[in-house]
Amino acid sequence: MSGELLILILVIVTAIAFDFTNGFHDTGNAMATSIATGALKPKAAVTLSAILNLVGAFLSVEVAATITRDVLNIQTDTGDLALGLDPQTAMMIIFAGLVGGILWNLITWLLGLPSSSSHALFGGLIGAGLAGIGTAGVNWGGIMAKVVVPAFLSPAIACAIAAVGTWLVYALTKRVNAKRRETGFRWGQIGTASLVSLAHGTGDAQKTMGVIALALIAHGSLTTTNIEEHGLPVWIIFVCGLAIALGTYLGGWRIIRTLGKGLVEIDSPQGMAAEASSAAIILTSSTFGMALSTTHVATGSILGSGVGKPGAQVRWGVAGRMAAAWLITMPAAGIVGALCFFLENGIGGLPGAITVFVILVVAALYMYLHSRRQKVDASNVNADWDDNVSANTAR
Amino acid sequence: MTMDINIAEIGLSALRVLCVGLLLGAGLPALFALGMRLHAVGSGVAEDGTFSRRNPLATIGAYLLYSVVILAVLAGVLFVTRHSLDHYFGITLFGG
Repeated sequence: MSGELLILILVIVTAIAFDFTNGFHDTGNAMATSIATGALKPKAAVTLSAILNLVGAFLSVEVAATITRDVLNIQTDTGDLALGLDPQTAMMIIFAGLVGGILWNLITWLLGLPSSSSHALFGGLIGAGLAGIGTAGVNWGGIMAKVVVPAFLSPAIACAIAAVGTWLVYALTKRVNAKRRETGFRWGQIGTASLVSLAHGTGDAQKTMGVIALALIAHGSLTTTNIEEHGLPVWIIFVCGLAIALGTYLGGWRIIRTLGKGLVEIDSPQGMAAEASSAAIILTSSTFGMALSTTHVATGSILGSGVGKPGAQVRWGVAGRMAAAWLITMPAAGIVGALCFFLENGIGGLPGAITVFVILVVAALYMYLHSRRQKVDASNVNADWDDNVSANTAR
Repeated sequence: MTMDINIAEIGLSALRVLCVGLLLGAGLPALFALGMRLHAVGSGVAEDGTFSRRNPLATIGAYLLYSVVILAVLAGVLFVTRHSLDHYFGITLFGG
């Protein structure tokens, strides 16, 4: 087996691992509100979301292999490697970028912070691209227009829509019997949360599919004309769908807890308004040429449901911590991506790639073991929120 | 390396997302809420749980509103799956 093939396999395994973290990092975007209000039992919620993510991923037929074009200049319009780029360098950049994305996803998960998985991936790729090619390898205009600006706009838009929705819903049902209202909106919550899960499966699983396709193109075992004629190889869709669904099923309970209990105390009318806002934005935004992160939209919507409910309390401190995490997501993942690339390149070839992979596994294992000390799972995800931050993951 | 950022274009798409989002993301929950209000009126159960007179017309109105919401959600599902429907069954929806 040649060294290049082994590197390709490492890249693919890492991409699948990223897809998995993407799944459990984002379970809360769809299901946190339903779990918090009791519309769905925690296990039922993650199962439903996992199935819908799987279905969503299998629905992906037109996967763009041009995933990196928004942030890097390593691909042509058709998805081929840019002229003059050495295939091994390209694979190293993708690999280092994925490692940066995974590690940042794990750190934020450990802290219970819902940060954007796509930002982590893009950040990692940008850092690795800078390290590998220099500033000319980075698509600065694309980063501003497709990543940075939407990241500031989308939470605000989501917050506004959910606030209006929540206010309307409470105004209209003021005179409805409280118990009846709670039951009715729980059904609404389940419907809207399902829609968010489905949209997540189609959108986010495709990102990893695109990355794997790119790695195969770089290696030379897949051509862009082949993708155009026959679509993506079925095994890629299958594996990515399974990885994101498994991640979703395991549930990022720490993040679910922050989203469902930390920001706002959510009642089912608020939950439905929040998920309806998220679903509407996620489903329509791409049509209007705005690429945005599910996480930013979902968080903005949940905040909005607190703003729109008369007398509700929003924990702005928690929101502030999240916003801070969002701001440093791209630079932090970028630094990790760049360091990984330097390390890979310094050692060189297959030994370099294996070294970085071992570091990734050790770091992931360390964070997993660390998380066991203050475990959050289906049994305590809804425990009362304590404003003393360290106590919230201690139960 | 060019910084071709079109502020006006970004602003316009943001405005579009906001408007459509308000219509669907806030409008549909509002319709659902209105349906629930009518449903309560129709069943004659008041806020405090006491029972007064049933109102079949309000109940019909409630179910009509619920159907609108459900149809909108189904349209949403078809919208997400539009490319797959086209790919596997040749059904073109929402202009392809």
